[in-house]
Amino acid sequence: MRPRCWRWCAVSDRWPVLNGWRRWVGLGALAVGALLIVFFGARAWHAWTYAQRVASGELQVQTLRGWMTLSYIARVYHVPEADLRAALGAPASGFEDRSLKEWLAESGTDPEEGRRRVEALILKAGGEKGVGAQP
Amino acid sequence: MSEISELLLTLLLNQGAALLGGVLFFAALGVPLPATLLLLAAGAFVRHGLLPVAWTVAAAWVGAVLGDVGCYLLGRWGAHRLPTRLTTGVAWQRAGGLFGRWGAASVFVTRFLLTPLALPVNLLAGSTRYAPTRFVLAVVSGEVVWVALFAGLGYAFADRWEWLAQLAADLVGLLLGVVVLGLGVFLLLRRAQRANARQA
Repeated sequence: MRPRCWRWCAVSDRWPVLNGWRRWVGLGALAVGALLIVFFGARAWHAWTYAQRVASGELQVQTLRGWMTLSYIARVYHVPEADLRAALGAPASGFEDRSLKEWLAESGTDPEEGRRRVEALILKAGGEKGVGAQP
Repeated sequence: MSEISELLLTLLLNQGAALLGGVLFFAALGVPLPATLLLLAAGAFVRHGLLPVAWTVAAAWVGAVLGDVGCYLLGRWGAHRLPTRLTTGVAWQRAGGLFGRWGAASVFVTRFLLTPLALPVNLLAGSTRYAPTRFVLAVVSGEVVWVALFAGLGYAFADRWEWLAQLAADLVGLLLGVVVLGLGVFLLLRRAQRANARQA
């Protein structure tokens, strides 16, 4: 004897496709897939438009990151490492593996102030070379 | 960017290719580490002359391949621990047969395109006792594509690799959504075909 049911049975009688375990797996996959597409699609679109705005000069982004070491900044932005160390009040040599974030924390410098000092050096180096500060 | 990503980037600058190989090895084993981000960064660091190209590419490739093989062995070892009635069941045998047919292609594609599925595919390959030589061949070629693609993109776009890492992660998620949605449509269509055949 067929079990009693309400609205769903009427739907599944009309569309047999919605019966059995594949119904649930299929519908679940449709829902999860649609959610993933909407979520990651929106993020990808945002990342793409953001990059376009940066490339057109509409947005200015900070290029310095806390993970960067002084030797990395010196190499990429063409700033003498000695100048960077002097600006941050760091010793002339040693601790090459420290990141910018660690240097600022170690010297007790306000991160924004430290960033400004390094950016000033980068801009100066860019001006002397006649090129922009971007790597 | 997360704390762990920042720490790993500083370590990559200091320790070089060995760190990259180690991270890719553990990421392939299932440890949640930002493997693609680090590979893109490594490409950019090579461009800036901070990492040697040959060692970086070799370490990345070896680390990823060894991690995948380790994951396969984990799946193979883990299958021994499962109850016999499960591993001798019809569903298990069907899964093994299906993987035997599509295994090499799925292993290859999940190395560089559907990367979130790489770990379950490795475990599935091991647990269904997929042929080791075919698995290794698919892994070796897939990881060549992954390393060349992402390290190459980092090298080519060395000034915006961070943005590229974000976009790559989003596009992989988007692609995964398309695949899951396609699977749902496939299952419902197949169900419909069978229902129609029964009715006819």
